[in-house]
Amino acid sequence: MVTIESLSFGYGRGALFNDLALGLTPGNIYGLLGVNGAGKSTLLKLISGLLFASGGSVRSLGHDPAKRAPSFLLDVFLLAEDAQAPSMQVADYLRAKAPFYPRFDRAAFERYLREFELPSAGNLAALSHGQQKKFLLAFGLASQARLVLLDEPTNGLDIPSKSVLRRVITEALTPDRLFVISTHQVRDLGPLMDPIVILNKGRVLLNRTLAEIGAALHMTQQSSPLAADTPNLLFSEPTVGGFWSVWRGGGDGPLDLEVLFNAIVAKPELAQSLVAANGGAA
Amino acid sequence: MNDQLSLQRLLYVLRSDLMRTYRSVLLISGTAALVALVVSLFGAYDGDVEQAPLFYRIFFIAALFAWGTIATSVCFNDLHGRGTNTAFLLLPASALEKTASRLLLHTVGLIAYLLVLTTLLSFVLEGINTLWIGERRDFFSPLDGLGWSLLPHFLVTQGLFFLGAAWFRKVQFVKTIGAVIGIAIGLGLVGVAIAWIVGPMQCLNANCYQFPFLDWLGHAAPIAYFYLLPPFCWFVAWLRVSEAQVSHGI
Repeated sequence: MVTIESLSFGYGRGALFNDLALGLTPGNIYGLLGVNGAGKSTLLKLISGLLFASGGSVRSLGHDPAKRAPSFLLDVFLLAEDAQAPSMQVADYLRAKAPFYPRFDRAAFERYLREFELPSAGNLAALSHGQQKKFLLAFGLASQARLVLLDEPTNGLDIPSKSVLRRVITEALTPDRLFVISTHQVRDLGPLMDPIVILNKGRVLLNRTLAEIGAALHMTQQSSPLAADTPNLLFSEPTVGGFWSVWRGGGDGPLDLEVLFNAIVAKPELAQSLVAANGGAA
Repeated sequence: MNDQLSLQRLLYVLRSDLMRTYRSVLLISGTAALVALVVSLFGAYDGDVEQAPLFYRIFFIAALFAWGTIATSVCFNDLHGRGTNTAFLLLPASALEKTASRLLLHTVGLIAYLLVLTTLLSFVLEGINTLWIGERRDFFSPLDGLGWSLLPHFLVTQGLFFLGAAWFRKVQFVKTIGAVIGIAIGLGLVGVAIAWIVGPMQCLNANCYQFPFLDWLGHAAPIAYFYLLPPFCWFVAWLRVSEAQVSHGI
């Protein structure tokens, strides 16, 4: 559904991506993780055609996104981190925008509004930033776009809305739909995201399902630190009330995405061991 | 599906653009009508009712050029705005349709709207004049010759500001005026240089017929000005919209 090959891109003279490759398949909610400046938002913009690659190729839904063909755009929804709704009445917004999406589901849209506890009338500009994001998300999901890109969707959302967001996204996932969620809030969205893509220094360090990761390593929590040369210990870091450790070999324990991310970024060779354990490319 | 131009999609874009802007259009119309009402009342009180359609001609022309250029220069604000450019670029319509919609609204749409507005305003104001002083001016005619004779000039001006709206990210109105002045000075200098090189300054005595190039230029310039410049500006604006990226808004 999304295929990126040898992608290069940069702002100004500095290269952000160089020879980046990534494949995303439908029926999944990908979690796109990376440190600040890793290029998560930029990658979403390249996939949706908001930015143009300087080299390599990006194919989204079989299209070159940079051409921004209407037949492609009606299948793409991107919720930007700083998204803001226009100063329009809700009904006017629907009348103006919904006709562009032939599969727009009005009933689903109204259901999402109710779930997010948003008013179905009034001016959108009067809503808070979080409410505007929820409104745009409700519209995007109701548009039935097959490629849904969410950039920090939980920023600005209150606590109840985060659980609604998780439920709504899970329910909206269909076999032909692809969600990509770029976030730093892995605790908010961790239960949703699988597979996990970790981006660092212009490269994709990891693109694996949780099952694949769980088959290659496991995590434990201890109250005291372990010696660095402990057999099969791959990574350890202090946490509140103890230490998280990452071990070679699969296990039944839960995977903490934050620890996994820190481990992969601190020791990129870990990702290679995951690849070796599962076979194939990262 | 034609990914470049579909009449249905163009109509959707037009409706979307109209719904986005109609409130500000009504607000500006109301303000302009209020100003016209005050001026009309004072004019009628001063016995100026003999100045027949001139009052409405001036209103129409002033509204067309002032409103037209200012509104045109900000017509791509959502393309350049950091929080709004994503919505503009990802709206499922082609760059051609998005550009054509803004162009139609700020040429045909604006002209038609101002003709109707001025006509209706003349009915209302002259109704008030009749009630107040028992006299009235002629109503404004949408077919008034002066207004129509200036439309080609408006299209040229509009084209320049339309291009400026697509090209510049901020303060488009001022930058467009600056760019036009700069280009005009540049062309003027080129003209002086040509006159200097082609021959002595006899042209200042309007005796240019001995210089075929200048004679040709005299015929070609109005054609370029009226028939080539506006489409050229619209075309470049379309290219600019086609290649716009969100980083342009940052």
